[in-house]
Order: sequence, then C-alpha cells, then structure tokens
Amino acid sequence: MMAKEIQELQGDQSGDRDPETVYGISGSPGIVVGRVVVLRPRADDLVRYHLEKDVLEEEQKRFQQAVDQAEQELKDLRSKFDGDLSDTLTIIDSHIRMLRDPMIVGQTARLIEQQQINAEWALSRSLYLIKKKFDHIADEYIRDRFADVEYVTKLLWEQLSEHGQQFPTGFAEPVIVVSEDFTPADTVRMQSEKVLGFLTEKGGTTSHTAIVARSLGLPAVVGVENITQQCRTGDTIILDGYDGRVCLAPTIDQQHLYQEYDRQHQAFSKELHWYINLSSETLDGLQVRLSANIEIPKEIKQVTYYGADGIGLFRSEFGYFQQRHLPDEETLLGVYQDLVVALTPQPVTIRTLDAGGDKLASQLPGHRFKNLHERNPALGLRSIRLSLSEQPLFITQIRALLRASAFGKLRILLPLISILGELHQVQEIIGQVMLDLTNQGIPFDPAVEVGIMVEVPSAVVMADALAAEVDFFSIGTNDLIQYSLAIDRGNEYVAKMYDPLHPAILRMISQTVKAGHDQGIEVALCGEMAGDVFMAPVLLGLGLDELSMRPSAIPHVKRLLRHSTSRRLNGLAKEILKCSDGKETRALLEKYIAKNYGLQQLIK
Amino acid sequence: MKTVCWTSTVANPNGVHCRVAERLISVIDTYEASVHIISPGQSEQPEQLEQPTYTACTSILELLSLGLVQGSQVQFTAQGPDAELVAVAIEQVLSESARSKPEFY
Repeated sequence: MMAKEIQELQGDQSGDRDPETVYGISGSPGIVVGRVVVLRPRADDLVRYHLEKDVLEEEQKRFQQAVDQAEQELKDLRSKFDGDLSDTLTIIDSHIRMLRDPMIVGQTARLIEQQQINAEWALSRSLYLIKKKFDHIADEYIRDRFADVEYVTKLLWEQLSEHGQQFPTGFAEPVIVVSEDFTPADTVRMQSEKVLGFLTEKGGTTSHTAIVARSLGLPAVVGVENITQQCRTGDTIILDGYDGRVCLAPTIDQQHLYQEYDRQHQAFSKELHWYINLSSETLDGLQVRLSANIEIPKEIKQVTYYGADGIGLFRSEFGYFQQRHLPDEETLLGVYQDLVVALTPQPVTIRTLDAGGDKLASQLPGHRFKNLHERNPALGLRSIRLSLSEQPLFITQIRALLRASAFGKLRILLPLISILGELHQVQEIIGQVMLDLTNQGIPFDPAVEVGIMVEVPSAVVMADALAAEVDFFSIGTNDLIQYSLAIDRGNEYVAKMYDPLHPAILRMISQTVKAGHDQGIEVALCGEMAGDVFMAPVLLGLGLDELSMRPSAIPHVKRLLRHSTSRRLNGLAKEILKCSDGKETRALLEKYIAKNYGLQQLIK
Repeated sequence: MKTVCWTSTVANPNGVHCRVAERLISVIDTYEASVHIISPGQSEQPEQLEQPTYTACTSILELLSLGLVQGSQVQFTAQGPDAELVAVAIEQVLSESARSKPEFY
C-alpha cells in the first residue's frame, strides 16, 4: 500500500472521528499495537497491574515471603519486650495474629488468584473489605482498632516493596504502559525490554516522558485526557506516536493498516541510515555542524552511532542529583574527560550546572537550598545565578572542566546569562581558576572556548555586546520561547500557545546569528526545535553554524540538509522573517517542504 | 462429641478489643475444642427467617468486628473433648477485670 492511500484511508477515519480513537500529543514517533498496563498512582504510590496465569504462583510466593518477614519483624520487636509483663506483649501478639488472619492472608491470596492482580493491590482490596466490616461496629473504641489492622498492613506493604515489584511484571510480552504521568524514577525502572510504548494524561512534546521515550526510541503519546479511565489493563490498543493518537478498540483491519504504516516508517528509517556516515553539508557545499544534546554519559554510544559532529550540549546536571552529596572535582573530571576523549577531535560543549527552575535547586543534596521557596522559580535563583551565589560549587565544576580541556576539544557553555556583569563575574572566576591550576602545575587548555546560552530576551537584545566577549553563542530555544512568549510549556492551559515558529522567536534567532557573525563567532542552536525536521529548514536558512539535537534526529536533519541548497534555504528564511504569525510561517514551511522534499508524510 | 452452649457477659471495661481478643484466641488454642460465637442473623429481607451466624473464635479480625462491648451478652458453643474446660477458661478471660490502663503503644 502506498503512503498516499494510507493517508486517504486515515483521512476517512478522521472524517467521522471514530469514537474509539482518542487524540493527544505526539511524544515520540513510532507505532505499536499491544496490550496495556494501567498504572494508577495512589497516595502511597500503590499500583495495580494484571498478572498472567503463569506468574500467579510466583506472586503468591512473593506475598507469602512478605508475610513471613513481617511476622519475623514483629517477633524481633516482641523479643525486646520479653519478660516484660506489660500489655505490650499481648498487643504485639495480637498483631502477629492479625497478620496471619484469614481476612488478610487468605483473602489477599484469594484475590491474587481470582482477579489476577498484584499482591499490593490485592492487599489493599482486603484492607478495604475489612474496613467495611469494621465500619459497622457500633462501639467507637473497638471500631478504632482498625488502626491496628492498618499498621499490620503497612508492615506487609513495606516488605512487598522491599521485594521490589518487578515492573511492570505480569506480562510475558512487552506492554504499553499508561499512567497519569511518569516520574523520572518510573521511567528509569521501565528502561527494559518490557515496554512497547508510553501513554500519559499529562505533558507535552517536551515533557519528561516524551524526552525519555525518544531517547529510548519508543513511541509515546502524551496529554490524552482521562486516558487512565478510558482503557483497562489487558486491553489491546494501537499507539500512534507519529500523529499522537490512540486507537482504543482496534479492528483487525485497523491493526493491519497501522502495522503497514509503521513498516513504511521503518523502511524510511533504513534509508536514513545511509546518511550517518555522510558529511553534514548542502548540495552547494555549505557545512553545518549537526551535533548531539545529551544528558547522561551513557548516551555517548548514540552520539557516535548517529554520526553526530560532536556534542553541542551536555547537560551537566547529571551527577548532581543522584547522590546524597555533591560530586567532587575528581568525579566530575572523570565524566568530562571520558566525553572529551571519546569524541576527540570533535568538540564537546558542556553547559555548567543549570539547576533551579524546573530542575529543583531544593533537591541539590546537602545544600542550604533545601528550604528554598520561590514563588516563581523560572524567574528565580536558577542556573548561572545559583552557580554564582554558590561559588565553591561552581569553582569545583570549572576546575573539573578546565582540567578535562587538556584531553581534547572542550567548550564551556554558560546558561541563562542575562546581564553582561554576570559574564564578567564568571570570566573572573575562570581566570582565577586558571591561575590556580597553573600554580599547581595542573594542565589545561588555556585557549578553551567559553560561550553563553542565549535564552533570555535581554541577551538577544544585547547580543552584539555579549558577542564581543565570548567565543560562541548557543541559542537555547526552550527557555527563549518560554521567556519571550510568557508561556510555561508544562502548563496544559497555555501549552498550545508555546510556538517555536512564532515569528518573534525566528526574528530573535536571526538577530542573534547576525550579532554573532558580525563579531566573527559561531552561533549554535540547541533547543528541541533543532531536531524537528519540519522546522530545520528555516533554522538552516537563518545561517546557524550548528544545530544540536537529540542524537536520533541527526540523520533526519542531515538528510534534509543534503537535499538542500543554501540559496533556497536562505530564500525561505527571508520569506519567513516577513511573516506576522506562526500560522503563516507554518504554511510557508509546508509549501517549501512539499516542493523540495515531497515528504510531508514521512518526516513527521 | 461433647457440645456445650452457654451465654457470657463481657465484663472487660473496653469490651473485646485487641488485647482481649488475643487472650481469648490464645487461651482457646490450648484446649481441644472448636469454639464459635452465635449472633442473631441479620437478614436484609425481614420476611425471611433469620439465620444465626457462627463466628469461629480463630480469627482475631472476625472477633473484633463483632464489636462486643462491656455488658454484651455473648452466646458461645464449644465442641470437642475439652468443651467444658474451654467454657470455664473463656468465662475467666471475659471477666478479667482488665487493667484500667488504656491501650498504648
């Protein structure tokens, strides 16, 4: 089947809007047909999942183990009071007896078996049934003994969680996980072969779930209202991460259609592979560096796999939040050095700590920011401001960065510069650290490049002044859009107005490029939009020297670049700069892409 | 098989709460007899003849959910070789002038 036919077929479907199809936002591309596990968060993080018959026995064993261990815990406690004649002993005895009571143990085991659910959930059902029984007790004192039942149940829960729920256990085949939202911890647990895709109620294209899904190469649809209510664990659905839609009760025909759609995308991704080893240039020889944004050192594999021309942005927050204390100089040096050595001679751009804002400063270990309460953190003590107010922390990082610069081409990137004075402060610190290193006889690259993120409107306006003092610019569009359009991309009520193609943004990019080039420095762009094939032509046309994106997007953008000529790209950009709203820019881009690549279907 | 039926009055100040229930079950455990509490049936359809329910004195949660307070009349049946002995022991537990200390832990 041809792409066009499929498109028409899908057009028919959306014509009468199949009630079984729900729409959200595309979080990560790809299509999967699979079964669903709905994770329902509760106050205590309790989740429910369906279990296949063949793992029930294992679940029972896990539950029995938890009972045994909880009993042992109570017996240990009891032994501390041994010989004591007080009532305490009898009370502990009564707790041990409750633990073994058929209403808890028997009931829970029965629920696991009959309803094929996990032990945690079965236990909470049992507790609910007991509660209903206790609610009928007329005497308040005895009715309140339910607290004892809760206490015992809590012990069991603790044991169960210590045995770790294998997440998301119960299905032999991989599943699509559905949740209101995923925490970073959830997604880490899910980095297994057991997940086909993600589906959430909250979030947009730049939400945590979407970012993680893309880096794992798994499809995701986010921002689907009420989805945890609309599908049930065990249902088969189609998750279409290209178009952000979900088919809840797919017919066999629909399943085939989507599978075909997916096959075509896969064929396309094979074609993309050819581009990995080709250089990043237009038909008329204009070179643009296509580099990678990464968050954790492990991603270096993807950086080289997808043929990146270096690292355009390493978000150095890694290492600051995972441990109970802040990383020391040697640890940081190890991380930076590994990156630089792995990529040499290509440049590795490392952004200094960008904590604060949505990356909570209060979670920095062992710091006075524990009690930092900001009414408006996006406009608060974040990023370079935090580094400058916490100089020992900053100096440690600068030392590590400078020392790593001795091993290859490292570039230091300063985030959120909004005032020239901040830059001067940092330059002074860097100068001092260089002096110290020299005195200590520790090697570093004295010509190390220092650049700034242009992500605050004031930096765009003052770009000419700033350009005179730095070695390069990197435009951070995620924040620039947020601050210029006054839109919180995480706020579902206004997220729709978050538009990278707003002419204001494109003009700011153009202005920054011009200011940089006038001073003879390179200008890069490292926001999400750099990796969006639909938006890339205008960015390339605006004359950026480097686009930094998630590694898997590089072949897409390179393919586009290699099909372009700089004349046509510049012409497009010129046209677009005249637009007065995002709709117009979009229309121009669509026309341009259709005319030059004929690919509007495939490059989503 | 010996069967004994009798009625006791709960004397414990706080009724049959955790500690008393625990004592009751552990005492019964030492005898060879199965003990049940008979409560009048609670039928939802009044025209039907109400069947009494039997609560085995082995589940502490079942015992607690009977909500027996000081002064409650409890109808017991005991079955087994120790039926009489267990009846005496139960009577003893229920009349223990339980320490006036409130339960605290």
